[in-house]
Amino acid sequence: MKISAYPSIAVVAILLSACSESPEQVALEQGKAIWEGTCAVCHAQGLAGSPPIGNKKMWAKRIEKGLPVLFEHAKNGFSGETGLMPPRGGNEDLTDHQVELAVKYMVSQSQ
Amino acid sequence: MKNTLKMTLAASSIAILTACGGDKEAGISPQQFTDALHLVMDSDRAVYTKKVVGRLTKEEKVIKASEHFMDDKALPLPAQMFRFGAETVAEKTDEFTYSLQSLWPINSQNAPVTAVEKEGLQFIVDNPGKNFYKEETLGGKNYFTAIYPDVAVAPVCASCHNDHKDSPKTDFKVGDVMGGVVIRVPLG
Repeated sequence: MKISAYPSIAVVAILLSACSESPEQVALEQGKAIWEGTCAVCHAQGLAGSPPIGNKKMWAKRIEKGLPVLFEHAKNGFSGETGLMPPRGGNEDLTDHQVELAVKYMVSQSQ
Repeated sequence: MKNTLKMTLAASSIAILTACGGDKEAGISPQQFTDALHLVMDSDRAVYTKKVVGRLTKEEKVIKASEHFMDDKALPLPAQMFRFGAETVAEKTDEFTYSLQSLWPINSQNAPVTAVEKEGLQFIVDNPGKNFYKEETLGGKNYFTAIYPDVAVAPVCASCHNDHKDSPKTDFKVGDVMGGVVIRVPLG
């Protein structure tokens, strides 16, 4: 009886190992949820001159500027060549950390 | 010689058919068509908003933009510019129509009329970032109707509507879906 239980424990351990996410993955998941709640309204398809998520052509020039610049633009707003980024996407309730998570998620999907 | 000519003609025909896609279906879907139309509309509107209205009113400060642009000798608002384009297209063709509508229109003429328009405008409010697509039958004719969200991207978008005496909604904020672009294409 005891012997037959060992394989089950091993299988569970392997499954748990396979399911565990790295901190980076967890952060991306959190960023995705924030993005869906606020940023998607424009960035899902690139409304009003905004770069749509996944559009590598539009994002390349922006990603070149570096994450700190993108963070700053997302937090404080930015008037770019093609559109207007409102501070925190118009959601004043978002913390700096949440904005950064959303930006990182959008960048991860666009390079 | 004749056989060679026949074979050459046959080979050429096959090559031409292959190059043309043979008997594969040609064309694009109604959704691809409306998505492409919306991409052009949204891009043109963003350019007008940014490069014309924003530059001349805020950066160079040489002219204002006003709802009463004729009386005020000002620039039409981006939404008005959009609507004028829709009216011009409606005069030229029946192949498609488009309009800017809202569940909270300043002008009641811009309220949804059909059941699909009402359903779609509510859908894009409830599902940020998503479009709405549905077929509908109007007057015995089938149509493909697509509805795209129209978002308040600047404080002036929200404040202009909130402060307008005819606005049924006065708590818009940046990031809100204020209405939608309705594109309708006849089917069949």
